[in-house]
Amino acid sequence: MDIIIVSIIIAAAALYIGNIFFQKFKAARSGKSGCGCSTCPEGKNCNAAYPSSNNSLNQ
Amino acid sequence: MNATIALAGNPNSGKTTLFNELTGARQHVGNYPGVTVEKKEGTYKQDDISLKIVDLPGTYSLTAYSLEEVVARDFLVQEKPETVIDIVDASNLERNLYLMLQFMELGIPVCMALNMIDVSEKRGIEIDTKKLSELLGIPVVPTIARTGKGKQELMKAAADLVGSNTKPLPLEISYGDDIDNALAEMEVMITDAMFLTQTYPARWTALKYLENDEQIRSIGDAKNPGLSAKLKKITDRVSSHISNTLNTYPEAVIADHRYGYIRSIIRQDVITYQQDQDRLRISDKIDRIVTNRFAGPLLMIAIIFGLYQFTFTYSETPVGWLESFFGWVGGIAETNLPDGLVKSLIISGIIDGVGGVLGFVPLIMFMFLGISLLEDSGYLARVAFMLDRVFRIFGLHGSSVMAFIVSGGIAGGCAVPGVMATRTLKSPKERLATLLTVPFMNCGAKLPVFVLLIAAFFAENKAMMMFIITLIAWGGALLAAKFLRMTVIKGASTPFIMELPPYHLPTFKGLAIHTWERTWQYIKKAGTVILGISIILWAMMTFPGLPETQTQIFEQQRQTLLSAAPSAVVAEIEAPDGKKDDETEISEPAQQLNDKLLAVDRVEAETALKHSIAGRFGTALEGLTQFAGFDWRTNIALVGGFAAKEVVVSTLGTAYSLGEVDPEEIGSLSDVLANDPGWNPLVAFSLIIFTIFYAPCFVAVVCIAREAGSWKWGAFSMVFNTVIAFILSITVYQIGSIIL
Repeated sequence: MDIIIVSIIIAAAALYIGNIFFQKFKAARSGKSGCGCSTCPEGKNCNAAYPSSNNSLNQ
Repeated sequence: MNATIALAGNPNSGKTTLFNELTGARQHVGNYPGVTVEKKEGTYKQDDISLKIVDLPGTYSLTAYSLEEVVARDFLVQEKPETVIDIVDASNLERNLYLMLQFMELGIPVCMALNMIDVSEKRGIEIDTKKLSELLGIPVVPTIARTGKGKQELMKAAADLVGSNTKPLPLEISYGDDIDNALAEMEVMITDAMFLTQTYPARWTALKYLENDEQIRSIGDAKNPGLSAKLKKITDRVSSHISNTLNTYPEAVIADHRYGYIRSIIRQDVITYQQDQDRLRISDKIDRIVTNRFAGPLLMIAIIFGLYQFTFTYSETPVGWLESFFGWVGGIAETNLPDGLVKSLIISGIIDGVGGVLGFVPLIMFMFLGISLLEDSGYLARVAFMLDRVFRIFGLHGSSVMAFIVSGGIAGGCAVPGVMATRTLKSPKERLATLLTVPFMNCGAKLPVFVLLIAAFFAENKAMMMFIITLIAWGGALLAAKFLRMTVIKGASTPFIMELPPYHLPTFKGLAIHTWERTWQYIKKAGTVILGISIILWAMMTFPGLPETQTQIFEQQRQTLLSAAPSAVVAEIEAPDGKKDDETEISEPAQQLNDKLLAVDRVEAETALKHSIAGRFGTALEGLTQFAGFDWRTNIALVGGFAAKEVVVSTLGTAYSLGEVDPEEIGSLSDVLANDPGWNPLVAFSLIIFTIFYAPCFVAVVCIAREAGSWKWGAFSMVFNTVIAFILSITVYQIGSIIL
């Protein structure tokens, strides 16, 4: 019984973390919205605080 | 009444503070451009009035020199808010009126919040608001956004404007014969062709062509290339004429005439000076000391050290309370839950894992309080100013300082906004060097790691140790930047101009809000992301478990010990349910037997841990990391730290919890590490060094890749940082081992 309960909890945690990091990856990758990291107060995102400039880094 | 009101104004005019007062939302009051969120919205409700308030980025004008200006302008002409409230700094009226004039030239209904009148009055500047209102033809309401004074009168004025049926005509300023004639010619052409007239007044469009406004020209080219070309031809003709006759260019002439218009208003007794204007303002007087070449840096060091002293001193007791609380919760679980996987998950995975991170909440809170005080008072801008000359030596820029501070230069920031703050840097080389080195700063996620190790091994000198860690982080970042600027990112430096806002006395409410916002985010992250990762890591440290053959070996060892002992002694240590009793109630021989049995349990638990997925991975890395003093548990923790640095603490908490089998022995994680023979101050310091410098967390790497324009730089930051961290840790550990 223990193994079943623990397996469910682990699977739920894995799905939750996977989803969170996927969302953070998409957000950081797109540069259009914040990653929701711990220093961004709720409802605000650090990306919008620093709008993209024309100063692109062409590598 | 339902309508949209836009808040606009220069940076540092108090726009964000007013927005907070009107809507109850929470914002930072900062001094660098773009600190407010574009299109931030809220609602103001009073009686039967409900107004949507939109906070536009702080701008000095509505030209197209920066994206903030374009964003603000686009919102005004496309969204067409019913009214704009222009927040004007009363102590800098002349400069702030420049933006006001541009709203009026656009024909937008506008009223003025003449803000910070208390500051201007203290400086001996009195403004005749009635006269100003008459001359401008718009409502002018004195306000003090910080305290909410004038808020209701302002919103009534704005609501009256919304309810008014008459739309103001666009203001027409004379720009001299050359430009006025060209404007008249262009205006006719634009009106006849209905060229962009749905969005902009015709004269305004013509003016933008003369100002070489890139955005308007691009829109014009797309809309009507033929007419756009004719307008450009007129512009070129006027530019050439002005250059030949006045030795200047149209934009400068236009700006001069706008300021002339402003001066003509102010000269009509709008402003009265009570004091001699040569007298230095208080902020300037303070800055003479604070930014002094010699006293300034010393004062800065003292302030930062004082911050750490304050933090560690006053948070010690509440941190102790939390540690006791989690210990108590763990004890309850230990006593009441049946042995098994669920119990292990709850105690080792959740309580000891996440509890290790949550236990530092009081310390984090005190740290954020101190940083909020420095930020809100305006002192951090002075730090950037002073460090500019230091940064130039290392190939960076004054604007890089704010990126470093945001990343955790003092403590508790985040590399993600730090990387994004590099967008304010104009030079691509300086920007790249900065965004690759900001992850070296002591972000909020690294803080629990440092605090844990400081509490365990450097308890007598906590503040000093934290200060040393800060210096190491800055020193390492600057040296790395210098190296990069001399090798892979060579290039010249660019000039730095930074506005120093006046000092503000922070309000208690503002400090409390800012402190709680950041603390709550820390708690939320611990309860969500860290919790999830702790559960996963617990699983990786528990499964696959020892094979049956090995379990039997340990069982046989226990049976051998029990068989060899007298039955009376065995009966003493075994309770009716098979558990061992509290050792204080048993005899000496029973105590010795108990200790031997616990030793077998401990070895079994450690073997099981090493046999797990995470354990095997950590052990495999030991061949390399042993030179830095790290064992397999630390290796697992550091790998987990790539997801989020706080995971280093929660993983160590889980690893030591899984390995500890005597409930009486489980104390705080700091105590456990301090008493573990595998740990000592040198190992701890080596781990601190590694944590400062090694690969940024996953999200930061993605941001670096995005901002740098290539995944190559994201990968570079991971490898470069980790290699530096390894070299430094190994050096520290090996040299330390020889000396000590």
